[in-house]
Amino acid sequence: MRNTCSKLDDVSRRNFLESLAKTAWGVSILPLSESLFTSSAQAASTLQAAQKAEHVVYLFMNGAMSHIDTFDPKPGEESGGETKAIQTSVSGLKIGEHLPKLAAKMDQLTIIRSMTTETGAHEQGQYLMRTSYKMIGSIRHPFMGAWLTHFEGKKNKDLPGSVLVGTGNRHPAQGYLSAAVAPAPVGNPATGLQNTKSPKYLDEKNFEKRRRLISQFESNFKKKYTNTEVAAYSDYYSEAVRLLKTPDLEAFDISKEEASVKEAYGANRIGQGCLLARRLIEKGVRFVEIEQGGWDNHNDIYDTFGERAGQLDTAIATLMDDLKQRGLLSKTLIVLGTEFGRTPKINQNAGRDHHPGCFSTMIAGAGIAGGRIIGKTDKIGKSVEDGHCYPQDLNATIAYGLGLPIEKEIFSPSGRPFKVAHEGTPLKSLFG
Amino acid sequence: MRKLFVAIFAGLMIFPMQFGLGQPKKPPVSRVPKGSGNVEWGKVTPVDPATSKHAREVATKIDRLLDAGYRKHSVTPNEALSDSLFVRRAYLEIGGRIPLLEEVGEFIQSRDARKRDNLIDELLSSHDYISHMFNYWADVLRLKDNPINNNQIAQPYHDWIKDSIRTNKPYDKWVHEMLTAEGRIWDNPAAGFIMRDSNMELDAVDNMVQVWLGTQIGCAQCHDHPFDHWTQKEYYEMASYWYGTRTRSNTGDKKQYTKGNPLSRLRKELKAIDPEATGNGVFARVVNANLFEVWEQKRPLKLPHDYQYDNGKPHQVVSMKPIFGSAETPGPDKTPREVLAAWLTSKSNPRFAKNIANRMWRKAFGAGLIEPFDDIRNESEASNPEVLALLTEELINSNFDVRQLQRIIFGTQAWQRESTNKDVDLSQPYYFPGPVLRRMTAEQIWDSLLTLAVYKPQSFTRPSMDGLAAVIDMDLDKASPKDVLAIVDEFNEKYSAGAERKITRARNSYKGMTLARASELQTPLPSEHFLRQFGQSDRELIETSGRTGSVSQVLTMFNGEITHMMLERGSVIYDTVMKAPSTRDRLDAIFYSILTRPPRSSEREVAEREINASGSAGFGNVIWALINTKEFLFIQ
Repeated sequence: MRNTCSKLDDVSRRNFLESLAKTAWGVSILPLSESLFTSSAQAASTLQAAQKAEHVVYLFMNGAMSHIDTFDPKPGEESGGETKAIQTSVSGLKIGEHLPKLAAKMDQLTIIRSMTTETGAHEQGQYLMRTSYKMIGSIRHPFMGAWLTHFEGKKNKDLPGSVLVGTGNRHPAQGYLSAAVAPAPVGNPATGLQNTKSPKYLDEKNFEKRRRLISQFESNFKKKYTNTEVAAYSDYYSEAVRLLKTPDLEAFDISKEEASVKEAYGANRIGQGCLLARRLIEKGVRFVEIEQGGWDNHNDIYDTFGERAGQLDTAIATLMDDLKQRGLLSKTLIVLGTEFGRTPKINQNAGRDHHPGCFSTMIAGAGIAGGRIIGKTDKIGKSVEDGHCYPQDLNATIAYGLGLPIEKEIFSPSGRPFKVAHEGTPLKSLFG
Repeated sequence: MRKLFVAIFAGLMIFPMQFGLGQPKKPPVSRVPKGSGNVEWGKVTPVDPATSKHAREVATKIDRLLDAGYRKHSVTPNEALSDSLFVRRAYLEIGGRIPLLEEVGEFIQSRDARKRDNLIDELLSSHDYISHMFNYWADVLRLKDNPINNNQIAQPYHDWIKDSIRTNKPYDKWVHEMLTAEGRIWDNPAAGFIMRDSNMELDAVDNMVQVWLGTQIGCAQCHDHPFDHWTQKEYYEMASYWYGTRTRSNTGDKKQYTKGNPLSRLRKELKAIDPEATGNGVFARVVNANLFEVWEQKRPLKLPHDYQYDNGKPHQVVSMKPIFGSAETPGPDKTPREVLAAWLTSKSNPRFAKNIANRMWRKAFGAGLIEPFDDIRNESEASNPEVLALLTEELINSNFDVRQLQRIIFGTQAWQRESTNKDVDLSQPYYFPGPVLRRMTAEQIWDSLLTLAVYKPQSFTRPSMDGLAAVIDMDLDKASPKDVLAIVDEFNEKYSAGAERKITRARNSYKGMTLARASELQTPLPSEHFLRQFGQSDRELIETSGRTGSVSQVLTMFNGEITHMMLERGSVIYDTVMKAPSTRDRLDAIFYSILTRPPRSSEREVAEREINASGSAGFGNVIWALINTKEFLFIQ
């Protein structure tokens, strides 16, 4: 728990941030951006209904993925390291050599090279990316999947609105929103949602009886303890019961897929995660977040980088093809995020360190015009030169694509006003 | 009720009837493993009876100070805990598990006026306490079996932490040993602390300041701290004590070897003997494990190439200076690291004692006297400053006896009150009318379920790594491939993950699950493990365990193996129910075992109706339902 700003009200926090940006960070790391501090009132909040995305597959690269070795290569510079740039399917645009399949799909995707953030600490950076807000002790903010379920409702009432695959405990999940819009966590995509089969002797009648017993035995406790977390467990119980009864539960089981399909996605966490995401989206889950770890390459970055990036490359490319074939790519946003970038300088341990100054993200699918690179970093990949995009701007862009009310103020149970993407401004130009 | 306890303690009732639950008439031998009761950890140093009176006096003082706070802020303290809620909380928060039926009975029936203090002392001197405290530190210190890569072996360090808890090593000495350790981990297991941040000298300083001083200076690694007063230069000055701390031998330093990379040499020689051999896998692992060694190198730290402030120039060497206060000057008889350790763990360091006092309070109450507990600043104020000052003073006067500090905290009336039954906003001062209501930690849930299912699960300690040094230690210049192959064989047989699996499979597994206390399992566990599902940390970042719920947890409680295991013949609760003479006693036994209280009359009625309708399977339904209540998961 960190409550960096918790003792400030919203207005003074804004001033505080502004003054900081002008002093500490403004000098060389984070040049002051228009987008962070100007109101997004001028931004239209919704897309035409026909263009609206209905689903999101969000790939989170835990540990901070090197931008220079993926989407923002710097060939010929010392900072470029061992990574070469390769030509993409769009003339004049090049990306890192570890992503050949995405390079071939460049015409369908947009890269943002001008991402920049406020912190070089993993936990805080991840929180900011997922919620658009700083991590503070007094409140937990919702992630986009919970917002989507909150505003649009579930598409399949028996399945969770959103699913997290392989994310850690500190994922903000539904934040202060109701547990009814909470994501369902899946530890390992290969095993899917576990414990969904009752023992043989426990038939449905018996199960119902047991559930009645639970509520009779805990009624006193529930009456006495009105705490949010206690009430939340009631929602999880109802959700669990709905899940156990629906045939769509099968969506969580990737073993139902042909071996050739599993192989195409890649026999690794990110590949299997993407396959699981496709199955879930097909059955109406709105938001699937998949985490891939191993990007915190302080040491010997090139020992494993190619392999990890290769897995990612195959997973996304296969997912795009598969969704397209099923008519779902036009309804699904695919977003790749990470908490910050890595230093242009290769350190003495042959690795790269934390670098919040700039990093890259990628977005594709529903309504996204492909073949574009947004923003620009300097010669060595140290600072953003053009088109600063903050985590809240990326989130506003996703929310815009989903048709969510970006300007609407939502009040937390403690009466504080919040917005889906904080004060972020959507990059509307990304859309078709 | 009395009758039931008496009957069970005396062991008079022996299986009066067959207990159904869908079992065949002649049930097979139970698949539920049973512990022997032997714990390999050795004897726990008991709490000192001589300081018991003093602890009580300090606890009373704390209550008086808290009372003044209640009056000042118009806070009504929560209800005092009943004996049955107290015994549950004491076992969970000191020993990490719910009490057994016998333990509940013994406590409730005792008429000793000091029985609460006695139970606290008994639990603080138990193996349960070691296990529970280890889980706490595993989360704080991010303990991983193989911290940086597969070549590093950290289990001797984990064993050493358990041993330090067992012998109640003074906290300052414990921290000092970690900070000043040198050598390979099997020779000096305290070196594991430094190994955890291998090759990350700058981050290591950030981490240790957060853990040992409750202060965050991490921002200042790249620029002046935006919210606290630390400058980037101060960060570098502090880090320069640590910059010469090396964790690996390199070709250049000629520390452990003189003739180039030992693994390359050994592989080449191995191929000469056996052209098919690759020298990968365990061969490489045991060689590389020998490269990890903590040692001190003279190594000045320079400001970064993009240093932007007026008080220094890029690439300028910084001098050593602690972030506050003053320290000795390193010299021939004192390395920079020793100077830093002495400064950090000193009684006069204002944050060292305060941080651990605040942490232990938070561990007991669910909120620190200072919040956020890990971001203490000059201007941070405790919600009750006198209490924190008193705790800090007591800790220093007891020569950093953290267990004695916990004894005092658990002895307060405030801790022995019911949990607060509404949400607590930690951005506002909390005046401790009682502890914050918390769900059990993942480890408390797992260890409690184990308590209901397995006899003496504390016997299943993790196979020890004692003796590893004699097997694995090698002279990297002289070792021959044959030596290494011999090491590989012995390592595989005794210390590999495979060897551990073999032992646990034969001794304490059930349907592929290893049934041992959470402290005796590998770390980190795979993300799909029960403990991870309920919030155990992945050990990447400091204190990232969680207590929030999810639909996946509910599915596991409904259908998971562990819930159903305890409905099987041979589980503790099954046998307990079997031993009880009447339906009434059986229901008492079930409720006391799971919720540490008797059934209310309405609950008894519901349960009896169920048992009348379903026969003995009804007991299974009642047990299952109780384990699935929120009352089981939350600590009242």
